[in-house]
Amino acid sequence: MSSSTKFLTLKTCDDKKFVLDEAIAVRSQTIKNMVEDDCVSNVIPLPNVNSKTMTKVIEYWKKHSEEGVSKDVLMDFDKAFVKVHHSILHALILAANFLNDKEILDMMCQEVADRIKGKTPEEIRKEFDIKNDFTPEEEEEIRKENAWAFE
Amino acid sequence: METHYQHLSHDIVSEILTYLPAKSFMRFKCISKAWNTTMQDPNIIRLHYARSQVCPSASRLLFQLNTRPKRHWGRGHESIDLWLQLDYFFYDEDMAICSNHCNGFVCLYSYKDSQFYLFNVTTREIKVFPTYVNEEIRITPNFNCPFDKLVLGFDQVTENFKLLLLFTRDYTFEAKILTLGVTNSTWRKIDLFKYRSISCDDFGDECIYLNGVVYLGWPAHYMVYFNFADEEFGYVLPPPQTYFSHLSIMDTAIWGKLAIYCIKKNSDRQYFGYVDIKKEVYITLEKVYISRENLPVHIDVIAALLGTEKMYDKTKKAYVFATTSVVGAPASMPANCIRFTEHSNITKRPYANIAFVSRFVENITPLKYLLV
Repeated sequence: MSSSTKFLTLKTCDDKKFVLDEAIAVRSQTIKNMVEDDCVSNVIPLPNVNSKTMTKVIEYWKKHSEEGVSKDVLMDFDKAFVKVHHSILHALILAANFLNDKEILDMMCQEVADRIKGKTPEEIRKEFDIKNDFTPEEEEEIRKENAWAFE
Repeated sequence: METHYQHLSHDIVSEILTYLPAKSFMRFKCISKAWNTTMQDPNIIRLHYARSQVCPSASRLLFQLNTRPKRHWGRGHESIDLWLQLDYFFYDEDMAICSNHCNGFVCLYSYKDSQFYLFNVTTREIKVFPTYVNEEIRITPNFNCPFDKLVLGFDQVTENFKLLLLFTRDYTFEAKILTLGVTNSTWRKIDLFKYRSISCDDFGDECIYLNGVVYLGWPAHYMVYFNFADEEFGYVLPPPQTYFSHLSIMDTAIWGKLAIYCIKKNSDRQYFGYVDIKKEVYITLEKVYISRENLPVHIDVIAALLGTEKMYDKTKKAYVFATTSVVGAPASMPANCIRFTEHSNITKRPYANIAFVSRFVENITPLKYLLV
């Protein structure tokens, strides 16, 4: 590392501190904006992210910042990275959204889509905690219009 | 079943939806009013299409099949078993296909009300063309009529679908074009003066749409095409010392490139290659020279269809669309020799033959955005 390496300290909602090379941390557009606007004092608070999730995010950032790492290795890494429990996947989406990291967010959204694609509407409502606000007639109408999608 | 994804913002849910396969997408419209509204957002639909372009499983082959009544078939020695998982479906028996395939869209003609309809294969939505479009189309869906043609194309520059109408009046050849999906669109006459050499005889029975260009016919010494972006006709010439023999619809669909067989003058060697329309040159593929004797014209490729009883109960001829994922398709299939059958009943096989095949990417655009 060159002598000009700057480090940032990130503090998660559970009061854990992460010291990170600024060049890596600015993968987060949110942190990048803070750095560019010069409003970084000592510690950057991340009130919406817990330490467990932040550890995963940093693991991703570091791997994708490594020099000379091949595309295949990164693809394998990403494949393994998304194979996590639903609760972590959910937390990673919220964290990526808060940190404004489009790369992680896109990858996680794709993973959720892959996990829910075969499910029934009832299962989806349960998974996303959604109340069905259609009348039975309205719902029947939509189902009829797309009957093939329910086969 | 637990709740895993609560409290996700509208933006994140929208993002997730753009990664869904078309079938799941359509099924989830009944989740809630909010989801249903999001799923009709033109930006979400556009993003979904962009994601589908790079998703291998969203690329599909569209087969246009003609069924025949039940019939006995013996298994020939040359049979190749090919198991294609087809999603197949019918459209109304009183309807006929009356245009080429274009990105999974086709035009249909209804004998009942004598109107023209647009059909989206991905969503299976069907909608009648507005009156001002319907009034202009005078063609009858007669496949043997060599002149009048309804051609559907996509302008890759403006990203609009367009309708091209080719017809003859008093032995003169005319053409007009209409942009779909824009308000106050009108038919524009195409000036054919500069194409004096193009005649109705240049058009074949089938036309192939591929990447913004429709190929209208392939006489031996040139091929006529129409580019939907600049709305111009043009020609493709065969390589030196050869002439066009025939076009492989199946290979064209599988490769996404126009695959043509050529014959060398004074020889029966066939060259197999494709045309790069941008450079207007013919590129011969390496090591794929097929001599006429070795052409696999006697090979039956048997594609197994699952649960097709309904399809074969029909006593009269019917037109059927079927789709399959490109992922599982073999690298090359001899065109026009594929016969579809039920795998469960080898000896009493009714069959459906391929009238046409094309390639498309799942597109969930509601037809109300195209027919305004």
